[in-house]
Amino acid sequence: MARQGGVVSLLLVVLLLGACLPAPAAAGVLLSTLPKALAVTASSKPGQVLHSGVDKLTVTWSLNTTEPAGAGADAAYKKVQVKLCYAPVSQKDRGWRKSNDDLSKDKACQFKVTEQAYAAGPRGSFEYTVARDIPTASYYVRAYALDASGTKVAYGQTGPAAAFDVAGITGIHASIKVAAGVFSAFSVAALAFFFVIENRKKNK
Amino acid sequence: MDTEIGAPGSSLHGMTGREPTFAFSTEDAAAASKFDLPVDSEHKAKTIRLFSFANPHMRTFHLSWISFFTCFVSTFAAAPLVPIIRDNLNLTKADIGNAGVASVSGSIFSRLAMGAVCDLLGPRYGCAFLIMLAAPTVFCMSIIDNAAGYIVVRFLIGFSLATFVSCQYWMSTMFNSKIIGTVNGLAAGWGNMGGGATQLIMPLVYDVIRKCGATPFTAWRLAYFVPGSLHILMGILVLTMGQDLPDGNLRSLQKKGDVNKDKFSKVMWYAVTNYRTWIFVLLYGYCMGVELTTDNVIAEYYYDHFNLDLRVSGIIAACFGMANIVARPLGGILSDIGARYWGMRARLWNIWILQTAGGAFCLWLGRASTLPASITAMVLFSFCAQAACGAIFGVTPFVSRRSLGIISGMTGAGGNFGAGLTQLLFFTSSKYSTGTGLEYMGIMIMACTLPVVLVHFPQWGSMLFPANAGASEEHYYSSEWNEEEKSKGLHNASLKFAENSRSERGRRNVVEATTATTPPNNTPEHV
Repeated sequence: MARQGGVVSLLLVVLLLGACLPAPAAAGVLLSTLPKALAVTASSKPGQVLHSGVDKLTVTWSLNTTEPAGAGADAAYKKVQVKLCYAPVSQKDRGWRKSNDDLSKDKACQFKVTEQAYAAGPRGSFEYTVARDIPTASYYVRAYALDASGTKVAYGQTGPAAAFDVAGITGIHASIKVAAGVFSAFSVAALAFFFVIENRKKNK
Repeated sequence: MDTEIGAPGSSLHGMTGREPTFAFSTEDAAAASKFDLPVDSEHKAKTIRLFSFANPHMRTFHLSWISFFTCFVSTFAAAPLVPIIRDNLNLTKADIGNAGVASVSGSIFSRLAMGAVCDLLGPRYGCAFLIMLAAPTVFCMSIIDNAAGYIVVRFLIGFSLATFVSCQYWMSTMFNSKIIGTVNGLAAGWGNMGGGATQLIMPLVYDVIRKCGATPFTAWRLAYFVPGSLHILMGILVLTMGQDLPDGNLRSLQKKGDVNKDKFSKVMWYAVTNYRTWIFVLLYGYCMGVELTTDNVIAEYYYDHFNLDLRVSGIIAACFGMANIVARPLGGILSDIGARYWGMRARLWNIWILQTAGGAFCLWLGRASTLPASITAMVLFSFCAQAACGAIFGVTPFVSRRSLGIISGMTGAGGNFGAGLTQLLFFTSSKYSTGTGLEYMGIMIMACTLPVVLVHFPQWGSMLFPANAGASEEHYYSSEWNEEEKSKGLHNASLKFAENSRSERGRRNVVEATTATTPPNNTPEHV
């Protein structure tokens, strides 16, 4: 019983240690604290299907003049980071795409469209060819304004309400289908061959 | 010339129930010179030399366990790649969970059928047929494009886990019953290791293919050609280099003791009406079953919960399955060591302690919020769960002598059933996260291990109660035969087993041996 007793006491020690280990460190920027200072539009119509690798999307952003902060608020904005975010319908039953107010834990906006310098005044825009690794889902566009240190200070989005669809690539090429067919046929044929040959030898 | 009673591995002799019932074995000098290892009268090896590939015994050992390993690799190959596959095929959590359930359910039936196939065609063809006919299903995974296809293909690939049966059957034709326990434990443990190795192999292959320029959605499909090709390679090796019996290939499987071939319905009856069978089916579902479930979910858990990349998640997940290399045999060894002092009661306590500790560590794993704590919990959980698997198969040979084969098969099927059930309950719904699912699984493990307290052998006792006064092993094992069968002497093998099983009394055995008229160690060789 000594060995089993040793296992039990080791278990208790490990359990106590585990309970004492500290939790991970502090959170990031919260989306709810950011002003919605950018007006963002995307060239897609709601419900439109874009094919990845082929179709283009034009994203434009400018300072949102209806916001009380008004002109001058964008003096701190140095860069704009535009991301593609999963619409709620594509987040349902998929916990790995869940939105989180804490932007360091947010998983809804996984794909970067562009990151470029912010010019106060004229509307910024970017023509984005939907990348080949964007999966089939519904998306909307969100743009963050970054200050000189790279921290997010404002944002704007085409909104979860209006989303467009992307049809991703399947990844299946004709060559893969052919190879799969050939290998499978070889496997079955090799088995049949050995079986027949050995049966013949047995009957001789 | 006997190995000492209670030596590690000795508890599992009689594992498949197909061993001959001779009381003695003679040394054949001619055979000794032909074979690399010392052999008995049936030319089965009496020892095992792990690093040899000599024909036929060690070659069979390696071909067999590697085939089983390959099937584990392909059955769980999707698990570390799920973060990529779920985006490519637009899967929901329910789809992923259902596919996991499907991957372990197919083999419940294929394992039952495999026994019959091995009887008809021999283990070599049984193994080769399964592994080569499963290869097309592995290749099919590369060309599916929706959730339904994913679930169906994982179900079909899961059938290949029946190589467990051909592996154990093949070992029993090549290795003597005194070491068959150790041999089968090593083969089962090393085969199960495939579930861990695949978590290392698949992300690595995926990374290499990506570096060669493929997009993620093509790269994972190409990566699946690796397990598929392994299937074909192992199938060809088994056919060209393997043989069914030590003396050559199968002409027709000669069953020793054919005259005494038992009636299936009777064997089934005694298996099903023994309450201990069902307790062990449940128990195995919560050690092997949770091992298979964890193989399916753990890589995705580390990828999502700790934001690690695919390769790192795979490496951590691999540590879980790879622990099988020592953990499962260790469970059997602990069982044998305990039995030497306290007999069967120690074996039952061993199972309870290991499996309950496993459940506690699983609970900790679900709650751990830092990476070091989580990995520690996972490793300890894997050791305990896998050792419990080994420990359970240290007891099942004693539950029944007549129905040993069916009980082993049912226990094995219980493992897969537990895997499917656990995945269905805790890892398919979006209601709770994977971490919470692990917590609940840990609690369920601890709850479902409690029934082992109820297992009582009249002649040896149970966890909480000692043996019944006056009960004997002979009475227990011959109660499986009715008077008519006893009068024909059909129960003689059981009586012989009963005598050898007196070691399960532990130290008490030594005390009684000095007062008995025919002490077990002095039983005459020729009866």
